[in-house]
Amino acid sequence: MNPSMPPNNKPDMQEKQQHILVIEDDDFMGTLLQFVLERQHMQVTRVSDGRSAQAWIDQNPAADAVVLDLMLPQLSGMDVLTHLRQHPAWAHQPVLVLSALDTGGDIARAFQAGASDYLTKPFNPEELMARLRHGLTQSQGVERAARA
Amino acid sequence: MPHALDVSLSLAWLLACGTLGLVLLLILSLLLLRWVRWRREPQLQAFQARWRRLLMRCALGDDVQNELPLLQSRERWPFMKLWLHCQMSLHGPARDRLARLAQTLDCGPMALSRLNSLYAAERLMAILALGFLKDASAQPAVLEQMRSGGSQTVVYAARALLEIDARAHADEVVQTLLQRQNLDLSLVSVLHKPFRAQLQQVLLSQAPAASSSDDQILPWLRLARALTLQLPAQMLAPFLTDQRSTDVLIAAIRLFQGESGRGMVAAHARHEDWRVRAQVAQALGQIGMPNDADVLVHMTTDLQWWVRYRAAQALLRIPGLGPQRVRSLISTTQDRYAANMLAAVMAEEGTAA
Repeated sequence: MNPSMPPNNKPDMQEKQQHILVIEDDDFMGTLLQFVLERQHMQVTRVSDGRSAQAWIDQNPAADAVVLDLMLPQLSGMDVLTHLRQHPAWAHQPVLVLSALDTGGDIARAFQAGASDYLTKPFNPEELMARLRHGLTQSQGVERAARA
Repeated sequence: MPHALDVSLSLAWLLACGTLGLVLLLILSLLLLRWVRWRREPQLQAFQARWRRLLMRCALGDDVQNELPLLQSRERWPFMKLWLHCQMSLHGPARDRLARLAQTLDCGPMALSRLNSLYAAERLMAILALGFLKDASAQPAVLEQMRSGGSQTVVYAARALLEIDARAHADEVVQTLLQRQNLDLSLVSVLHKPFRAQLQQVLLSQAPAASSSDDQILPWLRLARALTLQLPAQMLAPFLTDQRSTDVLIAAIRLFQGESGRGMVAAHARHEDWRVRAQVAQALGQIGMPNDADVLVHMTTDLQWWVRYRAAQALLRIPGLGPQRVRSLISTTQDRYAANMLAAVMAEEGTAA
């Protein structure tokens, strides 16, 4: 088994490129996440503080998934998550929380606020992608079932 | 007399000119430093953009050995910083790939040479780098740093040793952390997070006996908290007796998890030291049940502001009570300070009554 994470082959033209909103204030971590996701042919939008994230969510169509840090300037990730879940278009989108906070209480609060998944920093890129893909697949399944 | 006045005036004039000259020199130096930084900024950004991408590709498993640009001597330290940032952000196989890359670029000798730097930040980075490089030959130098370094150096050197060989060094790391005074425990908690399991195991095997002195128990309890060690209530019970010092009591109460220890914690609700009472209230907010409401309601009438504050917070956090019930419980005390505190905490937490 090859443990590395090779770039994904070009997606089928029929297949819609998935759009991920990355809310992360650390420039290095944000760049790293963008690199990992774009390598898998995902479209990435990066926002670096809670207030801009809230504004972006209000003014744009829902992304396919969100990667969210909890410790953000101006407005915490938890507030962004609560806001996002109150927004009809974003209410069911998968939100993967990626945070250095790792106590049971922090994780429980994130799930109570509407997180779909939780991963702690430092992170394993392979694990991040696997979890994100799982979230996207589940959300697409729910969408398809709702349409049917 | 006029001669003395002349001398004083000349001296004052000289002093004023000297001061003005020094201020001008300071301003010029600051402007020069800003200019140098402004000139270097584009180079630094280009360097970071080039190396960031290579490091990220390497971390994800690409073979970048043939694409590595020549690393000039003045670029080696900025590279090391970038590399460390990458190491600290990732875990799993990505870190081994990054370590191999830095070994190829001969970063080990440079990190070793920086161990004696005059700048503490450089020394700490060099220690961490040696750890992430997993270079066994660096162990004696890092061990020396752990044994003789300052309170931060110890924590960094401990992490580096664990990176090199966690199994071989876990015992000595725990011993050192227990023996060091003025340890930055929040730094221990953050920096040793990836090795908590190994350290917890060693710490558990060195648990103090009930007959141990407070001086032995306190560092152990504090380290256990920094490493988020979960202990059964029965194990903590011997440290909660009235003979223990306030610091030991507080450290032990902080470690309680789960409802089985509620009674032992609540027994100190009337302790003479308000810091213990405040800690009891805080702990009951995390592990308490509706049965603990009476204790907490009484604590909202405490003379100490912090005890009342923590008790009001705890009451609102206990599952199954709710703001309405808490408000009616507080009203039975007929204590306006308790009612005021509850109102303040409810406003702070945005709790609807």
